[in-house]
Amino acid sequence: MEDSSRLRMRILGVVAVSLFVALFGRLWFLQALESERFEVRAESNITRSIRTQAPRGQILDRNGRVLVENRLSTVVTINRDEHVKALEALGFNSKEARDEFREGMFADLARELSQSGQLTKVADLVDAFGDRSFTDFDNVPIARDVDEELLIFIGERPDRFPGVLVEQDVVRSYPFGTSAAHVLGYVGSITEGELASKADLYRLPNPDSDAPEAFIEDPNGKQYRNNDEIGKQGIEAFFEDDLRGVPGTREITVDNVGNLVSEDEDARRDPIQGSDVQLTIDIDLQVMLERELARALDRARGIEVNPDEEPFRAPGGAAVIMDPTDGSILAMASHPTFNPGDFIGGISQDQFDDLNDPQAFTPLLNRAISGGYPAASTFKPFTAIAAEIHDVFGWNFVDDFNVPISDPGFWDLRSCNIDFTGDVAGAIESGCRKRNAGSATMEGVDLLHSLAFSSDTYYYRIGEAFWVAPDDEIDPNGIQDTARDFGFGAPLGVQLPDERAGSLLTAEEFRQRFQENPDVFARGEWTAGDNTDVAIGQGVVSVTPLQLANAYAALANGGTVWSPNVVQRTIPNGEIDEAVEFGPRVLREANIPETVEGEILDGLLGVTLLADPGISNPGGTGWDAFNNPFEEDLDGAIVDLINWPVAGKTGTAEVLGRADNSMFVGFGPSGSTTWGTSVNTPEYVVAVVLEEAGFGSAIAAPMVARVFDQISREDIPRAQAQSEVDEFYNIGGTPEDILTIGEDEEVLEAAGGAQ
Amino acid sequence: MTALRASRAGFNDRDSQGSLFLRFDFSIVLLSALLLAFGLVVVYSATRGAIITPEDVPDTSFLRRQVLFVAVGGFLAVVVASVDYRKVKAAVPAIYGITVLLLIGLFFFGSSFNGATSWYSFGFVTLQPSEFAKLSLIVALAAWFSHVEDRESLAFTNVIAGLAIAGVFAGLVLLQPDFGTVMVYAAIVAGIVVVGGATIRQVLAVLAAVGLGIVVMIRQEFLRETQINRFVAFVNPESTARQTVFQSEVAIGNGGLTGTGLFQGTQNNNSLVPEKETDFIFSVVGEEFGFVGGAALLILLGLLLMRIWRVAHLAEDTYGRLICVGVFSMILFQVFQTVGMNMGMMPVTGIPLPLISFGGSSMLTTLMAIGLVENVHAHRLR
Repeated sequence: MEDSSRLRMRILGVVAVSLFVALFGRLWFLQALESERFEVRAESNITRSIRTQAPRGQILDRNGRVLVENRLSTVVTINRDEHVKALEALGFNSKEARDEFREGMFADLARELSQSGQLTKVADLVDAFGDRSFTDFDNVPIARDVDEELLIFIGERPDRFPGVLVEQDVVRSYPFGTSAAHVLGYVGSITEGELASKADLYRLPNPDSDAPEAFIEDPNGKQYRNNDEIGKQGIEAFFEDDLRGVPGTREITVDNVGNLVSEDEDARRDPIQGSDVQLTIDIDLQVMLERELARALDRARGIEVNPDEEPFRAPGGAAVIMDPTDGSILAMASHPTFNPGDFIGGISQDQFDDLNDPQAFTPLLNRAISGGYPAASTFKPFTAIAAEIHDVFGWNFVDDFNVPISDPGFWDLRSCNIDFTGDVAGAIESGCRKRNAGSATMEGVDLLHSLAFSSDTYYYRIGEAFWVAPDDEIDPNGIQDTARDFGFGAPLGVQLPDERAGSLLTAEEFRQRFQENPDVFARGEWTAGDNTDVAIGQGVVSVTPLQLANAYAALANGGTVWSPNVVQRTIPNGEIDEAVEFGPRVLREANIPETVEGEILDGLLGVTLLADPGISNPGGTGWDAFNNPFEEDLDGAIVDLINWPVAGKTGTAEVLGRADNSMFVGFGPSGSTTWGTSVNTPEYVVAVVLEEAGFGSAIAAPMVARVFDQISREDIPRAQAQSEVDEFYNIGGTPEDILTIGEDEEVLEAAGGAQ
Repeated sequence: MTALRASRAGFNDRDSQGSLFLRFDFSIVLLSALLLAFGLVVVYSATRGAIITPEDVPDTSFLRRQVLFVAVGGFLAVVVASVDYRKVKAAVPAIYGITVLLLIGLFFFGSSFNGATSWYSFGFVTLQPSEFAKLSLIVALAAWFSHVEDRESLAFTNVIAGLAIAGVFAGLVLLQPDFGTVMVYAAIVAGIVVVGGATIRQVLAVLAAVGLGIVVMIRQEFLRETQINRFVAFVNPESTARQTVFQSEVAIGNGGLTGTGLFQGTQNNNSLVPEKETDFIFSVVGEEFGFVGGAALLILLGLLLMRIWRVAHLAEDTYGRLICVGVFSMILFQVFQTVGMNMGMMPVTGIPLPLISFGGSSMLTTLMAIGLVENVHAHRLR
């Protein structure tokens, strides 16, 4: 071999050696120098930390009956990423081809869903598929509560439904349907705003965290992330932190397509279900109250009024039953109502707007705590208490509370300083003549009878006295101060969101309000007429039905004003031993002067006990409702008032441009020796406000009479969950036997129609 | 010329001296056998599938097919080794012509896979002519350059003509398109041209031309890759070529010094590196056998190359030497490219690791190439 060939062969050898040196160098670098970094990466390549959802806690009634629970729902989902990949594997390489396939697939799917009983439009599926709040790697729900058979049908046809999965999801369940909907509230998808506010509260526990997706965690390990459900209203919202569970984690090893290979059992953290929340609500009372509320409104709508008067539209109302001995709320009803079950899996914007539409009378509004109503005559006991505290009785033109006076049916304001003798029209025109309802005249009106008959004139005098008396003799804000003591004008602190304060302005506040917003309010100058309006719970006085019930609870229990409880305890981990009790919460002790306490109680008892003498006086405004329900156009119940006396007060609130609100607040069993009844410690307060429904004595009082009748006879029908009703029909029950369902009339109709 | 005559006489003598096999370089046989055994183990590990539950049965279909390829390849190697390479020289133009026809035929009868039309499919067997064309190219170039007597002043036109011989193959294979194989052709050309006697200037010119070609190809590959990436990333951002190389690096890094142990590589078991039984098989070696195993494999390959180099060195005629140099260049380049790609040093092209990667055409080609080397060794004169 020539020398040059040897040289060339050596060149080849040198090249080979240098290439091998490079390979060895790189191999050493990867496997000796940088190995640790890659080992970590290899580990994370195949391990996944997955979150297991924790169910929300249950909501129970005071007797432990389940009002909100969780159930499994079969959900059809689509994973956009898997869908596209599967289509490509099937040979659909262009976007157009895939879109076309999808169109056909959705048509098939909509047909299958509809045939299985879940009416579904193709457009619904297209909308769900395009929901941008989910990433391409999420399973986007496109139909909920579908027939379980679809699980097999779709599962067996991956080629027809690529990327489509049928899964089981945990959703809220409401065994009593719409009952207590406003108290329970509902859940829905967390909004960006809610997420942001949680972020403000808690931030990220560890910004460097290697978590797969961003979430917000509170100090108890409860997490909030996109598409999570969160309580939106009622208990679901107010007790979100308790009801929410702590998600579990599982450390699993997967293969390249994400299939489970193994699991690290030691690292497994099981999800912890959220705490149960036990209410003070008694579902039997609740269902009964709701039914009576709906019935009373329905009755009001059926009453014909003179064509020149506002019709009784009776669109809504609220009712509350409280225990005056401890401030717990036994029932809280608001009408119109809604079905929290409609929110499962999301609700359309249209549906949601309808539920908040004033034209539909805002079904979502909990009128019992968020409605503001004039207190009207139900306010009079507090005006009387204020008058006694501030020595108004016996002052100048005001007689002492035990002096019977003659009520001509009106009160001409002294401060007007005009003599209206003979000029009735002029007096009314000027606004200086304040009249009773229907200008009714009454005789022998002392404090007791002013309440029983509901004389306005008696309180106009008191109201004007507060205003015209020199400030050093009588505090002009006396009525408002006393009302505030009884819990009006400020939220009571019930464990529910959106509790309103109501309003209770003094002259000074009235003026300030006008100065701050002169465009909104007509005037800022307080007049004697404003003060007389306050005295009868009109004008600037606005209260919630709960405040009314709570104030009367204080009258019933001797002055203890509660911060009402709608929740008695939260129960973590289902362990009653670990329960966190609220216990009675005293807001303050209100001053009820002993001098008038008996008179006021007797007056309120007179409302139901003072029979119509049929001469010059009308009798107790609630007498008919509690004693004489069978006359034409009357309603109510014959309550055993001797053994179970009811003290109460009607209210007929004037609302500008609308029919009057019909009101009644009462408590029992009460009683006094004056009336010769048994004397008891009151256990129930019932407050009712019916919008645009006419006189309190005509609509609200009969409703409350019926409620007290059932309570006093301990004859509250047992509320039955929907499952119990279904079961009942399965064993051959008849519709007539079932009268205790929240929507019993619909059930009856449905059952009757089926027979 | 006297040497040639003497060789003729020697050749005749040798026939009477006994078995051809005794004249083999046994270290090449031994090294090949070791590499093949190693390869079978790794191929099995890469293809046995996920064994998670006791019910899971390992997939041995790849292993069994690879054993068959090895058997057939071994047989063909002996056949190739047995007929004196000099006798076949006359048939080189015919071999070359058949190869060209086979490559052209692909455009009419070929099967496509992964976007390249590189295979003839006969039921269960597929053949990749561009693999066999490597052998064809080696003997053709060796024959061409051995014609030139005065190697010190090889005419530039002869170099160009040699390049043209390779260029026909390269052009046809580029159209499939298969850039990786063309790069192997380029390496074969480079080796044979260097040893075949081109001047430094000519070598530089050829290297520049080849280098330019590679740059263009990589650039095209790069363009193609981004296009793919753009599409694939839309569907799955994880499945880009870059990601594949990264996962391969992770696998090798995960092996550390001693490896995770056979069947224990998580990257392997979870199929995180695609094509791990063929182009990315070194990632399995690196993960499960670590630096010790990877280095051992490279040493075995290095020793094999040394022995081939030695045969080239010992060869008594230019033709035989250039054949060995061609095989040497082919194996060297394939090892460097595929191992380098697995370790993130080289661009991603589909080139098998000789004697290790799963694949029939590659296995047969490599074994026949070694047969050629043994042929040269066995048929040289003492």
